[in-house]
Amino acid sequence: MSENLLALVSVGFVAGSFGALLGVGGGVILVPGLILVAGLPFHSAVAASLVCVVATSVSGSSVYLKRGRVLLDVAVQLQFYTVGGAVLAGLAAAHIPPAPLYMAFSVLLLVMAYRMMPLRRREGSRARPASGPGSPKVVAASIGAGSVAGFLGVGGGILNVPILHLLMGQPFDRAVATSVYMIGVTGAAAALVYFARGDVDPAVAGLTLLGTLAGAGVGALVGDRFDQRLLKIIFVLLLLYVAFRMGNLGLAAF
Amino acid sequence: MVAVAAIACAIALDAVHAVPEAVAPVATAGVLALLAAPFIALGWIALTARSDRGRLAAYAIATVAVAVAGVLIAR
Repeated sequence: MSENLLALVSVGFVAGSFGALLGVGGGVILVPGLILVAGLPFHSAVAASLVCVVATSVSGSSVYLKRGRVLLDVAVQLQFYTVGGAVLAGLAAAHIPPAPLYMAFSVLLLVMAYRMMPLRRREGSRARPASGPGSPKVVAASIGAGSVAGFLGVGGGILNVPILHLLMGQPFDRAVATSVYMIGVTGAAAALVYFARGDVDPAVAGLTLLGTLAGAGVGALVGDRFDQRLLKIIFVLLLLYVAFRMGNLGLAAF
Repeated sequence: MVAVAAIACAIALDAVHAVPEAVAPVATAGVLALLAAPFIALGWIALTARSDRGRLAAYAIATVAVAVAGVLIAR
């Protein structure tokens, strides 16, 4: 039992540290970590991850809200669609066997690794006509972002930021701040569905959350001392390894 | 941040049975409080908006309604 407690706190700590050091959501580390290290079933890992995602969003967005960085009117509108996607996905997830979800998570990790590659230039200034929050493209993408959160237990920031920045033409820093706020509501809606179904174990969520907060604190304290490029390379290698392990689990479960 | 850390500590203490049985529901209450916080913030944002308050309030109510519907269906 004590080994399991240590595993939960450790997974949370690693996820929180990388989250603070690289500004990425913890879900991509938490879900596979809870499955591969702590031995949790997929749905329980997703549920615990969602609780942690909400907690990190609440603490992060309180700062952004105070500084006035969150695009409130845009966030309130888009949240309706992300919450809709998250709730539908949360409900559907109970009826989907783990194998395709493992595979989907593996693909998500590969996409994440590709986006984190330190050698690539990504945030280019591609001039695109800005879409409004009610445009079909933005609505569909927001429902997709919510679905990713509901199915896979990640915050959806991997889609929120491109929606706000590339589709809607918002400045990158404000897109990040708005996304951090939005993933709290989206994650909470999905987590409540898992909670109502009995998939959230408060003990597992609490211990993982404690580790996540400790890791985020340490990451924030020591962040300046590390070479960001080296950290990204380590993180990409970790993502690729975890993608391989999750893909293997998915293939084995088919 | 402090509130979130306090809730996490309470849940974790409960997880390792470091609190008496009488306070055991603190874990469930802590998780629910955490999950309710973003919706409380959403309501506050919509109600205190400087412009377009009615439209934002409608979106906020619809968002909460979707979340509540999800919980009811899941149960």
